[in-house]
Amino acid sequence: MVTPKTIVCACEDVNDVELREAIDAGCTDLESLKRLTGFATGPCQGKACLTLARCLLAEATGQDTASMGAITFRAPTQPIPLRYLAGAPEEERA
Amino acid sequence: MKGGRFTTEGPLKESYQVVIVGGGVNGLGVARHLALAGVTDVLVLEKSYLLNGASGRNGGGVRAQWGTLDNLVLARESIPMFRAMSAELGFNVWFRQGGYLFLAHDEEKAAAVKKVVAFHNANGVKSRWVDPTEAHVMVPELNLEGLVGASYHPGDGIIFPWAVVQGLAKRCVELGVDVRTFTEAQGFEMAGGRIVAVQTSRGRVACETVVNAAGCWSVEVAKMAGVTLPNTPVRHEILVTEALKPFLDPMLVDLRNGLYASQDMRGEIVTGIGMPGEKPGVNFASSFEFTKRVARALVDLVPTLGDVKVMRQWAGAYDVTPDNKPILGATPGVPNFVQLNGASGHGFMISPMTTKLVAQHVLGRKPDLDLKPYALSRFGPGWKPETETLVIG
Repeated sequence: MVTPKTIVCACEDVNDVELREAIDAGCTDLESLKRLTGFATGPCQGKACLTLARCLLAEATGQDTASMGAITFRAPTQPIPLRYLAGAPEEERA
Repeated sequence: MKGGRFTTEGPLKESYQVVIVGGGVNGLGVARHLALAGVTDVLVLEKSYLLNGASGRNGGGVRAQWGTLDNLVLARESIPMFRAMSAELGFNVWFRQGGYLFLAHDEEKAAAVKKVVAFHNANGVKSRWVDPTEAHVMVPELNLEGLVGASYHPGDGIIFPWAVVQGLAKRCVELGVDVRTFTEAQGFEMAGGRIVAVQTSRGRVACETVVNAAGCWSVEVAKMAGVTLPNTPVRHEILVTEALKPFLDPMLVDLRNGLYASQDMRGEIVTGIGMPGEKPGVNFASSFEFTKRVARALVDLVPTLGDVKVMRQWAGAYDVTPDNKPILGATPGVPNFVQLNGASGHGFMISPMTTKLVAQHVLGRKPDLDLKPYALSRFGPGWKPETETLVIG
């Protein structure tokens, strides 16, 4: 049987069915939902998927998106290569 | 998730046999052991969402390579319990035994590591000394410059902490334990030197026993019963990179600077490093000082990682005791108040064993190990700490 599924988090390949199942299992806040499904943990870190996930959670639980808050956004804002963060080349370092 | 809930719904009961403060790996772990022994009249209080504390913020390292017997035994006994955990919970906890390499870059550290290997071997941990050639075979990407050798224990590994806690929560609920998120223990009602009830953010519940498994908040929880713990919360930072094809089997620990790095089951590199001068306190903020320090140390140790991108960084808190050993069991002066905290950064990896021991204590049974070395009462007059040299991160 083929059922339609909407991709919510393209980075981590999480669809609406998986999010709904996680909500049914008791993940009724965004932080819990993120930790169970892995949504918002890929390269976009939630920038592309959070709004849709919030709408899904609001619809499933009757919560208001305005009072739902967001996940904690972590540094860096964009993925950055380690060598940039490591700073100057070896010979220039103190 | 089909076939199980992670939390319980509906109002709290008026009383529970056991109330556990803290819904992390320790609180849920002890609840599971109690339920398996038939005691299901148990309430687990989590003040936030599951995984908000150190259980959701640690690097998932699991190792038996410790420097004191009291830590070694707890860790050694926990490894086979982690191996069995996915099957027991009906939930994949992503345990992978790729070993740990403790890397020594000078003769002094090498001598210390060799001594620790002998200590491990005398106590049932089959670690061994590996030379740089063998380390190179294990991790071809490793920078061998200055490397004298390393200790290696193939039974060590990594686990996915989120999955462990979720699996434990699901199993606890299935067994009939009451698991409540966003429900805080706000005070204890004392009578005759015992805790008779817990004031929660959802009302009062009477209880026979209280377990303090509150991690970096355990000092505050103990204070509500008038008990002083010698624990200090200290921030530790960590970061994760983008996912890569699996290439790094062992966890790497650089003894020059306290760097650790492993590749998790999603392919990401998980890495952290100790920050000198970190002030005590519960502080989950991230710092750029950490980012730079860990990036430098990691790119020095594994230069090919230089082009790998950092995905996110975060912080958690170690709940540190003066001897870096956990506090388990009875509380002097408050007989029905049980401690399960102070694990000093290795609470997750020893939790299978510590939660089993504490459950046995709560049940009034003889624990598998003597709890005396872990008792709160050890910090009495004349106490001298035995130094644990292998706290990392």
